[in-house]
Amino acid sequence: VPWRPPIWTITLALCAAAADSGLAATSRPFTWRAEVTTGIGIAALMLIGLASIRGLVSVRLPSRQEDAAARPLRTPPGRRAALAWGTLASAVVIFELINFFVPPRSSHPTISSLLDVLTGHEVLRGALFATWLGAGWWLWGKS
Amino acid sequence: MAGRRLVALGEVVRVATLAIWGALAACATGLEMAGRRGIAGAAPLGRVLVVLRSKSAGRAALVIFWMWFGWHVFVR
Repeated sequence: VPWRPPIWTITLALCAAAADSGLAATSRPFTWRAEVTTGIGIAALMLIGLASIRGLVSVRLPSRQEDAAARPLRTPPGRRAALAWGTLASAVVIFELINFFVPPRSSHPTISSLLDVLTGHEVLRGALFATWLGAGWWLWGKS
Repeated sequence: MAGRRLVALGEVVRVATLAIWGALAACATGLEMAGRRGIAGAAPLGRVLVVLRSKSAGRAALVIFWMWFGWHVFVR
């Protein structure tokens, strides 16, 4: 039976994520501080993921675990939906690569250069970092 | 004269590129809305990702993308 983290552990994890996001908010790209804050986030979530795969820990919140059993199973998306999202994702990747390899960047903005508007502002950068950490947590959840 | 034309062309290309990014974002929004309303077999992105996450290879691809995205955006 996977270990269900008590509420104080979840609170501690959320505080750690908030602290890491706060440090990331004030860091600049190409600095050791940015490398450390992002590296800590990746390392922590990879450890949680490995523990989850080995069945040592469940990444769901306690209330969500209880809800999951009662929740009716939804029908999985069909082939048409997968094809539509797959086509759109392919189009984004192809257009991103075209913009990445064709200079100058000012005429061919990539997704990351468009995100510079967000990451240039401390509060928005911190919020984006926290969202990224949350997405990393979600990746290890059980379906 | 030639320099001015190049600058003007660069600006046109920039606007066209931004327009294409906008169109792709609009497509994603439309697909998400169609999925939420259950139109023409569409499904919200979240449900597609949950199915992808349920398979080992799919989860591995998502984790690699997640790591690359974070490093690329926050560190470069």
